[in-house]
Amino acid sequence: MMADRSLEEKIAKAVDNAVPDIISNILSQCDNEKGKVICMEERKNRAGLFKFGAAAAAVLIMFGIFGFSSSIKMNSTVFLDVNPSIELVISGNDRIKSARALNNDAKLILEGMNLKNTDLEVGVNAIIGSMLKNGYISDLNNSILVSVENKNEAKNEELQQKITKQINDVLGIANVNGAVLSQSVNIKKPEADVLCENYGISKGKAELILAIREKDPQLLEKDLAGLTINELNLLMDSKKLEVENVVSKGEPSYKRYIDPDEAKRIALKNIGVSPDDVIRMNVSLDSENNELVYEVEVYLEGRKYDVDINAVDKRVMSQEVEITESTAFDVPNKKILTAEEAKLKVLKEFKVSPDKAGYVSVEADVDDGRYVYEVKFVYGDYKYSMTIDGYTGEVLKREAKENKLEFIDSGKPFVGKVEVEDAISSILESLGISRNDAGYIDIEIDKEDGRLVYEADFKLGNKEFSFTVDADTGKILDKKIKDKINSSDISLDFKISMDEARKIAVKTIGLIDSDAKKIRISKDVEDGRACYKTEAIIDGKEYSLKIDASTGNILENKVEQYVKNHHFDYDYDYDYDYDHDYDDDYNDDDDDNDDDNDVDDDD
Amino acid sequence: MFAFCLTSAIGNSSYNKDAMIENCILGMQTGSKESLSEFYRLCKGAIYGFALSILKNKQDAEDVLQDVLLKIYNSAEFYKPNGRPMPWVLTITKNFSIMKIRERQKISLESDEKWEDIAFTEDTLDEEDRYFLNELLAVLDDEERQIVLLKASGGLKHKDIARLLGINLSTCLSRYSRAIKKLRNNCERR
Repeated sequence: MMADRSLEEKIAKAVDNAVPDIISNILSQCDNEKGKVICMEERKNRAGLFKFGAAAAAVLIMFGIFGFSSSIKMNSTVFLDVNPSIELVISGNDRIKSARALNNDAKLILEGMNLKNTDLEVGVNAIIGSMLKNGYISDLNNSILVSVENKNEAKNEELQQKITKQINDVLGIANVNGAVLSQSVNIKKPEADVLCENYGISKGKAELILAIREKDPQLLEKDLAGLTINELNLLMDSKKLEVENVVSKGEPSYKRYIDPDEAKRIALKNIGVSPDDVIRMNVSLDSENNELVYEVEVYLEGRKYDVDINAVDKRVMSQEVEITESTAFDVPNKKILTAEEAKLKVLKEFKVSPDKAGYVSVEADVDDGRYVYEVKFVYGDYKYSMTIDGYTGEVLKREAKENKLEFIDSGKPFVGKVEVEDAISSILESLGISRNDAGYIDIEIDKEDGRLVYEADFKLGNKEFSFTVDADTGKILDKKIKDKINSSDISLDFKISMDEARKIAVKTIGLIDSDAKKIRISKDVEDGRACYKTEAIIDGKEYSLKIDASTGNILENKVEQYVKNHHFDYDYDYDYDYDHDYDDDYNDDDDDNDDDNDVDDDD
Repeated sequence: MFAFCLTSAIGNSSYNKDAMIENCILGMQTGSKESLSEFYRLCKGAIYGFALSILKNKQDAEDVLQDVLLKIYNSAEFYKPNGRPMPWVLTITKNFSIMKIRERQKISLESDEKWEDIAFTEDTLDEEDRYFLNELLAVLDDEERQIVLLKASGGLKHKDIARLLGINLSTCLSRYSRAIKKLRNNCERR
């Protein structure tokens, strides 16, 4: 067998040795690159990565005040973004002093154009005309972003209106209904500069993205930067975001995209249900990986589907299903087994008499909509486990194996310096328990903070023990002891009806009766106890309750800001953000676990 | 589905290598060349290995290694310390690798290179290294190899690997364990 933990270490060593020695090259290159160069040419690759190549024709006119003194006749900087991104410097008397292409598409637009000293309106005319001609502005993509940098507000406004009018005139002739977005650019915003540099976009677009994110922080920069202005406009429109500082005229074109109803139809077809079975559906437009997708939520009896559909090509990008309510719970005329009955049934199946069995652990659980009991015990040299249906007692799973300590997941390649047996013995010793008494022990091997550890779990009496032991030194790193629920407390009996639970929820949250139907309620089993889980989203807050189904006691009560739950946490095609977004992505932005408690995680 | 799930808390010591790497990045913020050299020493395997697993071409991987180092040196001030620098570093590596592929595609329509075609013959490698690189890693498919390298050289957590490669966590875990099994099986036959 492969020696200890060595496989990965050896690979790492081999790779390390294979790296050519180029440090001196790198060091000498450093001297050539002193200082930050915002080089738009370098960014062309990323700019070219936009999936929707055609430009959106939303013209955002941003007016900022730029100038070293309070003189009115200072230059202004104007950014035009559609998909091509152009920077114009305008003199005090409205003449174009310079025109610069900020991406490849813009280079195409400006090719052959000499705009120096031309009148602003003439220049805009030419640029928009070229965009129309080259297909960047069209019926399908009609949003244009114009951003102006000039501190003088009056001049700002004036330029804004002039340019907007000119654009609309040109588009009118071409029979295109434009959607114009206007905003002012704030020169001193470092976050905008970072965006601008990392994604190769103009300051104008950067500011727009920041403004959008302020209204919907769930949209990440990397999901927005690659969108065309039209797409950004569509997002704003469909989510009804009232983005600060941006004036919007005209309607962005949805023509390229399927409409929400079609998205719903596609979702249902993909799931394979008819509209009659549907209890409720939600559709919203979102951006993932620089693509617009519709997120469709379909609520059926006992299940909820999340289907993501590409808004352009109608592809189903993902589909997930969640059991919301267990149908097994509603079996009429059937009595559920008690934990005690389950225990006896299992022992009988294994032909072991109860007094000989030693410690028997019983757990109630819900598996795929079915009530089950999991019973485990140790007898002689063997350990036994069985899972039975909670109503019928039907045997679903059974296992009997030698009572040797073994890892739950033997896919891991490591073995520690301390033998597992010894590690376990020392734990049990510290508790004064014999091996036999400890019964069924679950062991996992894992790596924590670069250290190999054994994690051992077992139950005894009415306590559950959980230990983490350093696999190389045998030292106990952590131990947790929890009160276990007694078998007699395990109850799968829903004494309280769902309606009553709903009433309790309404009262606890403090809702008015008409809001009662906004509460989503489902049956569940936790810690061996039947309970109801309720969720309600009211006025931007999310209320989650857990109610004991026997006593009506509130087991858990949580109120949180409602943040729309997006796709599965992983953002694909991750682009590197140097700004604070990065932290959001990594540190516990995840809806579920902390790193530390993630059983699945390998360190 | 709510079974008992007993987990344990983490020990408190921080992983030294990550801290060292972060210090290097912080050093590079002030332009320190020593920090750059140290960073190179600590991370070259991770960066080169990952780039190689994507590009399967030594020259390209070397170019990417250089680009990444320079990029990090020049953009160090944008890094926000959070105890885990490697996901950041390797994302940059991935991006430069992809850019490299696109560059390459413009020049020729070559189909995918294969790992088996790379010849690891450098003097710096001992026999065991050569075996690992030329033969053992060759039994994996591209994605398995990337996952293994990100874990072995990059020291990433599975969650970060999944994110970086754009796959599900559970998919990542199962591919990883499959890859390890393959490696072990092939190793034992030696």
